[in-house]
Amino acid sequence: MKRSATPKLGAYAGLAALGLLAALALRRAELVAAAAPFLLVVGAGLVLSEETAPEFSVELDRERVLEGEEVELTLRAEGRGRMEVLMPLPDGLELVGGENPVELRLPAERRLRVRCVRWGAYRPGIVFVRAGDRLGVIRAEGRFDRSLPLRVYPAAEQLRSALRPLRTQVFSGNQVARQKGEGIEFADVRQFVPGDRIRRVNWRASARRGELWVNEQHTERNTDVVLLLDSFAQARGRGDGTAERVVRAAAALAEHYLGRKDRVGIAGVGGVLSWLVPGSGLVQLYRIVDSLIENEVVASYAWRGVETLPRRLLPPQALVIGLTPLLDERGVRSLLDLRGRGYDVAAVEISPLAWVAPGARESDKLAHRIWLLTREANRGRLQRAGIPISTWSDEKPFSVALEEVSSYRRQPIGSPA
Amino acid sequence: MAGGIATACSAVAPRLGSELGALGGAGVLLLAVGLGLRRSVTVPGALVLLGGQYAALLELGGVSLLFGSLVSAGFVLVAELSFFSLEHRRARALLRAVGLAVGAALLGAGLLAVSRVAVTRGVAIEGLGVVAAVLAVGVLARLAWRDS
Repeated sequence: MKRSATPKLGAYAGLAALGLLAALALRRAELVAAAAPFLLVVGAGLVLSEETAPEFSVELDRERVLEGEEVELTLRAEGRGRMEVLMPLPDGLELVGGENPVELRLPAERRLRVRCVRWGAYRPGIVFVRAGDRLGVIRAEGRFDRSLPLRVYPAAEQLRSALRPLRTQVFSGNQVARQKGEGIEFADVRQFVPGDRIRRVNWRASARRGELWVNEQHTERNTDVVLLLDSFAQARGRGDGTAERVVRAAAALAEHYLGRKDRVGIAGVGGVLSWLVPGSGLVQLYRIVDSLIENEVVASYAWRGVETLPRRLLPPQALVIGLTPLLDERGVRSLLDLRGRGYDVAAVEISPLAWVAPGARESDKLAHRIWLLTREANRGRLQRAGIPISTWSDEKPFSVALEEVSSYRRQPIGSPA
Repeated sequence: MAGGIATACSAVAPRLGSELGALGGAGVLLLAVGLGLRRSVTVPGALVLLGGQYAALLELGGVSLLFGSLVSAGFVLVAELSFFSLEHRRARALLRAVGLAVGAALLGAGLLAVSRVAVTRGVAIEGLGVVAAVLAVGVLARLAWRDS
């Protein structure tokens, strides 16, 4: 801890020196009597102040929590003396129990209840300490970095259904493919051929037709889903914004598709290009959520198109779901580019209108109207390219927006699976 | 408290009471402004003005031992309370300020009593003053050394 003099020490020492010099000059003992207490306070403060070497440790009861949950932060201080301790909490964490800052008499232990208001990766646990001597002339201050990782995952919306991809992959999953083969869902009947299993014989149809007919089923396959997060720009207000909603939507989609044995990947196009190749299982869900909470909007004027993404991120026949606030032309072009490459693309527009109000002046209102028209034109461009798009705003839940996209999608009958 | 010191000094002055009052009033005003603006640098300045008023009163004469002791305690109390209000310290510090003021009064009374007994021995008083001044300079030097 760094020791330093307080303003009081300088003031008292100066007053004492001035008083004593004045006493000497004026030959007045009364001035000595007036100055001596200040000198004594300074002397006693310097003599009584002692080096303090406290030691702090911080513990978190959990390292991974869901948004809205509370964690307990325990601060243990070893040493002796009395000191003020402040543990600043990052934005997104809120103190709900305990005192911060707090004056402690060491050794001591304090527990703070912290609510995780917003998802994100945090490192709470930086401790600022200030100790003073009893007379307030010497101050010791220190900073102890005892930060611990705390990951707050977004509370994902539960989706009962999501977009069905037009094409499936070759691995088994929960998605009913258009292909016929081994499966559960009935597809058709056909004449028996040598090699067919007896249990697939449709006895009712066979009795009616006088020859053996067998059932055909649709296979259950998995799909590859790539979530394209447009983080070129964002609109945000207090505590919420389009970037937050993009992450929330992506977490909900990832959880849904991974729960159905599909493979899910993430591509973040924006100022910083990031990706996570498609994978499946619970580990992939953790990977995705971990990467999502570190996803940030970084302002950049560089054009980083989807051509810079690795090929294995975008497997053939993958369903690409774009989550975009339609605030940047480059995000729209990324979706059009993918569609042009033959991918099955759908988009959900994360509406920024809640945070973008028209201004008071006529010119501001005109600019707002032009901006709305530009957004409408961008939506039209996507729809004309065959990309279904719906808007997710405050007025409806995400699942409704997805359902709108599903109903919008034209599924060509008889297209190869 | 500062106002009380300024008023008392101008009240007991045998002459030039209004001039002394103006000097003390300037000190009180400076202190009030400093506390209002939360500037600790004005505290010693205000005390210097009050001390100047007190020194002028001493030159004019008419200060008793009791009055001198109370003024010494008053200076300490004003300084302690000013820093207390600036630093948001706990109530315990308030008690300590009062204790320091009482100690200052006793110390002042003791010093003044000794000085009056040994009033003919001017060399001793001057020697004490020199030692005290050297001590004060030493404290300042140590302070500067620690800060560096």
